[in-house]
Amino acid sequence: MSTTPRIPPDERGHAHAGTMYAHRPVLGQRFSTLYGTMWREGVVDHPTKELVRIRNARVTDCGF
Amino acid sequence: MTDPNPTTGSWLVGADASIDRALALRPELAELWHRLDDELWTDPTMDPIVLELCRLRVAQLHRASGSGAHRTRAAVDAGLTEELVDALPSWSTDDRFDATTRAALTVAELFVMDVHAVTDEQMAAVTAALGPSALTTFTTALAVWDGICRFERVLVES
Repeated sequence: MSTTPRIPPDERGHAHAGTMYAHRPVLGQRFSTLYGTMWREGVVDHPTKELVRIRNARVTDCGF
Repeated sequence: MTDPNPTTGSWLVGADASIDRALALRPELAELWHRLDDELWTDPTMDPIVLELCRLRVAQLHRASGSGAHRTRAAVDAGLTEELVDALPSWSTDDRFDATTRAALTVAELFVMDVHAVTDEQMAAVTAALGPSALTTFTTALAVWDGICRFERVLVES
């Protein structure tokens, strides 16, 4: 796995989801709305969601 | 915990288990999911046939029969044929799959099987073929479809 970003960095030299979605702002908006609603609503409590998210990040070796 | 339905293998109650039925349990999420999925198909720089072939390949690798059974209208309207879909498992040796499709399918397969195995060279090839807007569409689509196929496998047809 490369540690070199595969998308152009922003003006501060950082490459992240924001710089990626600058190419597709509506797509980024729709993803964020879905993701935010998943976090904000529903019967699963936030600590459980966060534990699952962190575990998923560790299993996939994702720094986020 | 109860056992899955012995006929359908689904963890959802009832014989008509489907991903739409699962999403219907959270209608507000279902609507947002469909709006996100719809947006994937609006990028004028992304060939809908390439995108659909990648979606179907992701479904094949996950053995997600629900996702693999339907065809996206944009791809069919653009000329996707069932002959090409039938040839999808052997895309790497089939001349009907062009260089752009091959670059995209290479990354799509590794995205599902071992995302850490995607090389800089493979990403450079798909980036050169698609351009930045379609690359964003493509990688978002892979993430979304990989997730929805896993969702389908574990909840609807385990």
